Amino acid sequence: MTTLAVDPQPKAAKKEKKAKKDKVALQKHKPMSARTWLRTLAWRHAVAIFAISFALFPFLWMASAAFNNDNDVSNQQLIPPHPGFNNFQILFSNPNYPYTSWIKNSVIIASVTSFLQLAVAASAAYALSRFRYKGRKTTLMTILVVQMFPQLLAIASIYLILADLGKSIPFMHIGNISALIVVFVGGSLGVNCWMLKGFFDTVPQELDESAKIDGASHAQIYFQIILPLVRPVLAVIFLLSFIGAMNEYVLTSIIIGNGNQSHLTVAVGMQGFISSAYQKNWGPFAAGSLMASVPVIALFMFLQRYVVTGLTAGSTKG
Amino acid sequence: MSKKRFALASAVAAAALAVSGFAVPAHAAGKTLTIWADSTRTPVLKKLVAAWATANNVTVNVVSQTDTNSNFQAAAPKGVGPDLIIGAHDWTGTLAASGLIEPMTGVSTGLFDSGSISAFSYNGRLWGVPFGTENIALVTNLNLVPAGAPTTWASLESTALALKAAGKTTSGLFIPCGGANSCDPYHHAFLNFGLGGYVFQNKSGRLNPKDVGLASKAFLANAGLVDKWVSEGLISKESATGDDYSFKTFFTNKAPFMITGPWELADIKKSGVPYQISMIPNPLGTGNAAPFAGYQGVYLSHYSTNRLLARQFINQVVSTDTFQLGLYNDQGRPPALLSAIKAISGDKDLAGFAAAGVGATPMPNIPQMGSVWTDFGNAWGAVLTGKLKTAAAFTQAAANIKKLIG
Amino acid sequence: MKIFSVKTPSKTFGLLLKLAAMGSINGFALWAIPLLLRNHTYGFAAYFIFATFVLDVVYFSRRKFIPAKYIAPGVLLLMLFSVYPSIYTGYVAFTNYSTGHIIDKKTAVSEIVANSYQSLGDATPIPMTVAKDAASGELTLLLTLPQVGPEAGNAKGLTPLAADSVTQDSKGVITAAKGYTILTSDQANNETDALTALKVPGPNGSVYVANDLQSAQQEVQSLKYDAATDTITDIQSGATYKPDSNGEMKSAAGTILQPGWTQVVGWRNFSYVIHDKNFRQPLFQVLWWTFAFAILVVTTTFFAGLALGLALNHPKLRAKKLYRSLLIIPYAMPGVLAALVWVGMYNQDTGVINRMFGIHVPWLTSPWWAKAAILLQQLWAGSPYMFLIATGAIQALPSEVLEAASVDGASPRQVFTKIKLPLVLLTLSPLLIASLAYNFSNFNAIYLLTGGGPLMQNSGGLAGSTDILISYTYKLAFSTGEGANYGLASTVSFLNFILVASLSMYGFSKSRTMENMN
Repeated sequence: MTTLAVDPQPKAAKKEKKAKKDKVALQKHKPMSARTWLRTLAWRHAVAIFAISFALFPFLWMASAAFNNDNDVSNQQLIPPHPGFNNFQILFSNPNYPYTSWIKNSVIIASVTSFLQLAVAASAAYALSRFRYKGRKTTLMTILVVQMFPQLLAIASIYLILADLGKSIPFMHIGNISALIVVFVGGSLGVNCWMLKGFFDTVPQELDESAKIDGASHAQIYFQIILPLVRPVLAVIFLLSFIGAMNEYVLTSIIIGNGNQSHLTVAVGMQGFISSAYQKNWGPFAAGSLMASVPVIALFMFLQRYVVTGLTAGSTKG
Repeated sequence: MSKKRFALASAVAAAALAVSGFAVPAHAAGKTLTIWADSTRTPVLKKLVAAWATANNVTVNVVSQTDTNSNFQAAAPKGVGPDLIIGAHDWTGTLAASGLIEPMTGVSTGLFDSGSISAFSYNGRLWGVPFGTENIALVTNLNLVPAGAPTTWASLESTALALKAAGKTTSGLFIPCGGANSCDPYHHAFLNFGLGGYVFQNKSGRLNPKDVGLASKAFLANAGLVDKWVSEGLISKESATGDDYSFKTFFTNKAPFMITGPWELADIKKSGVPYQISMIPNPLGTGNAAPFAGYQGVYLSHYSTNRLLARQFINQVVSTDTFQLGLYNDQGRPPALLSAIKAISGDKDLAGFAAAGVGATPMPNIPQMGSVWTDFGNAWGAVLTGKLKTAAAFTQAAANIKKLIG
Repeated sequence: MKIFSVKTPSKTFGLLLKLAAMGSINGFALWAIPLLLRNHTYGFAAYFIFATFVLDVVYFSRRKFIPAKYIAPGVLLLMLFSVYPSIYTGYVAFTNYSTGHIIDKKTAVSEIVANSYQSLGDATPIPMTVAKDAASGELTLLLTLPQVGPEAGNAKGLTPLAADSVTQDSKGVITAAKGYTILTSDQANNETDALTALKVPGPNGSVYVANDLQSAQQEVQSLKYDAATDTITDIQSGATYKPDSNGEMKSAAGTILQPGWTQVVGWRNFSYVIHDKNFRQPLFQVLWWTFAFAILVVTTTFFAGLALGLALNHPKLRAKKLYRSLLIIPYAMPGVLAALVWVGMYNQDTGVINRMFGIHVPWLTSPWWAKAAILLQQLWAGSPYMFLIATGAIQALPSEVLEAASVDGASPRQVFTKIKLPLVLLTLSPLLIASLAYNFSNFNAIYLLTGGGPLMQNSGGLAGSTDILISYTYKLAFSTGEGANYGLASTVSFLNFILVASLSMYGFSKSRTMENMN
């Protein structure tokens, strides 16, 4: 089988990138005066630190509850008087609340969902960005407007759909993770597609036209030119979809919340855990919520290098 | 059709046939019963049904639910619901009015506590078979009150106030409510009933949703007493300030009395405070007050395709001492079968709860109760925080509730 | 410049992939459609036929439907899981679907009649064995009637069984009978529906019915249905019940039989929304806050996100990656759980915010503080999203334009207000409008934190100071009257949608997005 050797980025852009890198490297060697540092960077650090302390405060509060062996919500201190891992131990040792399975389920659902959502939305966005056909504007508007329908009631009819489909198609049965994933993918086209289309539009048309002249098919242009160029946006949307699926509560609890405890997601499982005994479960709850954000943060850190290359991807424009 | 196209079409057809070749899933043979229950009861239920399931060659699936009631309402008419659900008695009206459950037949009601039977009755029929009851009782801290639980409201009041005056305690009678903003009136309701109020007029076993009595004449005449008890510190304001963390005041010997249910027993024991569980004295007159009571039982789905088998399960499993005592041992809630209640009469705590539950008021099981909780609770929130006088708060609540019920 | 080199296009591989995918889809359809038809879910069968047909045409037709190749999968899914639910909700808005009216008329009538059978006298169960007539195969109940003895009952009536033709166990249960085949309990269970329907006529108009698989009961019917006149009659009193306009059987005296059924009630729910005084009274205040909430949430989170995006977007800024990862954390925590944490933090007496700053702010209990509390929590929860998309948009800004501007001597402020901000806004305006629309019906944000409270005084006892339109109307639909009123909730959802959609369309036409769409 022959492989396709395609250069994802125009050589000119690469050159430019290299030049930029050199420039940055040069500047790095040049020591920055204290005044310039104050003027250009100090305030940025200050803003970041202020924002981070706001963002992290509730998180630290949870952390202090999580590591507090007293498990006493009314007299909780920011620095726990008796720190320890009791809550984590409780969380992992309760067979009625299988936390590890919850995390595993959440990650599986979120990964598959975000991959499929991305695939569906990106190809739709490609068509909407690159082809001119009758009904294009209508498609764009419909996609967005449909998304504005208040979810809360639509959920009842989604339940009815699954109840009917599940009778014939086992994997679409209520209680099935795959049914949840299909529902997630089916309802997600709107915002993702718009966001992607916006970024696809920034990739100059000349690129695909010259490729076309070279004999590339529309599929080759899509997979080998456009997609690599918008990788940062793909990364962002993957992340957004991942978070969305991971943290979704209402649909998840209705579709898979009825079954076995070990089939739940973190969001649904933890909510049930805390509402069954608020005071008693507060500490383990804090520990579990704390850990629930670990997969997302890990994914973000992993994707960050793609997100940052957005700097250079943007520069190919024009 | 060109050659290429023909090849393509046949390739698709071949793949299609290959995929569709997967067999239609076979239907499981034998008898199956599906039961939905909440997650805390699921494990013990599984154990309790096992023997019957084996003996009768039935597969019994006990499935844990996050919200049994609303899941059941959505699933049952679609044919994806269970055969039986385990739930609280106050679902009766909603489920029966919507035609989702079957009336119970062939149940010997005389074998059950009469309150539990009336709790599951609606429109003159029985819709569920009870297996557990729960009501609140007075818990006395014997460190602070070595003489034991008071038998009259007056002695409860004087004891609490004397301890407070002596600086030994910070609060009198702690009645949980969950915060002024989201006050749950469940624990406080005995005061309403004791002072002449009622939620719905009970006319020979049928509740009249048009007659809301939270601001009945008799209650308004006595409402000043509540204001007095709140201001003098007999009724603790703590429950309105926050979540029910204020149980701590009792556990740390800062409150002589509190009112709670069997679900708190484990924590009370853990705290090490010597305690006594007894009836709540009637705030007016003698005898015991009539707190709200809740009952658990099993309902039979109208959409069950195994309804006769399910009835057999109810008669042969749920209505037995083994089942009811098994749940009692696991959950700490007194059973509903009289014979089972008798079997555990040696339990001192249970006797206390049972004494407090004599003549208790089942939480109304008609659908209109949904319009009551919020305003009922808000009224107590306003009274406990001193925002409104009792009479004003309940006059307003009753007016709102009447408007909501329409 | 040649930027694309097609060496040997691997067309065969692509074709194989396509064939495999389309083959699976067609195979799946071939497998699923008969099952869907067999289960009487014709709508879905039609949908699958349509979807498969569309996909086949798009991917195999000689005509080039190139754009459709990319859009069809998404749109087909969207139709099933977004468009259809919306249309269904629109339909429910015109029905009386609510507690007491959630089943169809046929089921409701049969239930009313079935539930009118009451056991006669004491409910002592009659020993019963399920059998089939060996000759005719007819389902038969073999009963051991007290004081009467063994009898065989079918739909026609009771037939006494000769004592020597039956075998009974110690409890009187018939274990064998001449001329009858006893069913095993598995077989009997499979006949549940027929057994439930079987009413064996007994003395004085009573009937014997199976109570479970081993016992029967003597019951008497009190209501009967006449299909010709569509009425239910009380057998004793003779009172008749006729269907009323609300989908229930009602007598002349006004007595209603439960359950009722779902039926189309036309514009009734809409007229209720317009005419009901209790609903209208607080409507102005609720609407005012709905708009304020949506606009404030989007603007505060967007500008916070944009400011952070700009501040952290400097090539020489150290620890940039770390900052970004930390900033994303609020977004990484499941929203339901985070809201619970915030409720705890806002507690007036035990909450960490008041304790830390030594203040006594009634965060969730005063009308204005509760609004502030919600906005602050939303700022916390929503900024990371805005930060992410703003960072993306900033990074996609054409650097040439920015460079050109600074070469032309524009100050950094001018570059920002005249160039960066408009360009970023242009890229993000569809998302901002979508976000506005989302927050307009952001039920969870309100519900989880304050539940809409604190209660507005003089508002009919329902509307809270932080209720937005959607949360207020859900309260209206679910905690008034006789339980949940889905019809009314759908009506308001529908109206809410019309309002949001038209405002968004207006927003789009005003923004330059539409012109930019070409």
